Amino acid sequence: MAVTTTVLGRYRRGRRMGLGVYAGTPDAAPVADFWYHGLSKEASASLPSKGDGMFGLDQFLDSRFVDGQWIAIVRYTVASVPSYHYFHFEIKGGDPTGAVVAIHELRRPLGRAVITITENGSANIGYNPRLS
Amino acid sequence: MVSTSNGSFGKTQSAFGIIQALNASGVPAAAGANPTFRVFTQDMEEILSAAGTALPFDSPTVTGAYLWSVDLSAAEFERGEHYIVLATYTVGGNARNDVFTFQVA
Repeated sequence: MAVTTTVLGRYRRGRRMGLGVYAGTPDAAPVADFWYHGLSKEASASLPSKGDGMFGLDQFLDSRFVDGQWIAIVRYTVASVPSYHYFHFEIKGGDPTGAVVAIHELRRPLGRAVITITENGSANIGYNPRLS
Repeated sequence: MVSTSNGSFGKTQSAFGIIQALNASGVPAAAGANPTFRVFTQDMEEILSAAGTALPFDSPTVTGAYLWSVDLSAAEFERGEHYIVLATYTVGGNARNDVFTFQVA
């Protein structure tokens, strides 16, 4: 299919959004462009092969994905013939830092320190963690 | 003809969508001119003030894609209602139509 359109629904920042297409044997890896309100391209990424002609992207929705309506276009060519897949989705709310994916405890003279790494790659340190 | 649901848009936003011009083989191709579009209520009453011309989208990276956009702040658009967009264009002299639907949230 040369052109498809899919409505994906609503997502929150800090989560991941999956895009998948069957491209067969494209001339090059498919590319996904993310457009805010169809007016400005805010992000771009290649889709890795998942085997058997499938290509997929697990896009992390970071701070670039502000509230509003978005279109992702996955584009590629097969024997120079273009194919486009349009994905409509909405971003509403969320935390662009994402979930904590690693945590490490340190004991120092100042007290106990906890270092966390969040999904967007930021590191945070806090002393004497406690429940408030 | 392609029929596409574009989801819902806020009353203060613009509804939009992509018209993808295709040739007789279903392959993306440039339209003879920028597509025009008309907007209708669910009762197929045309909202004359919302009609317009779509503009090329991400050209030349994407072939034959055009962006239609409708300002929903106009009084004719009501929250909760669905609307229909009829786009018209030609490719290789052949007339084609695409239909889009959206809701005002």
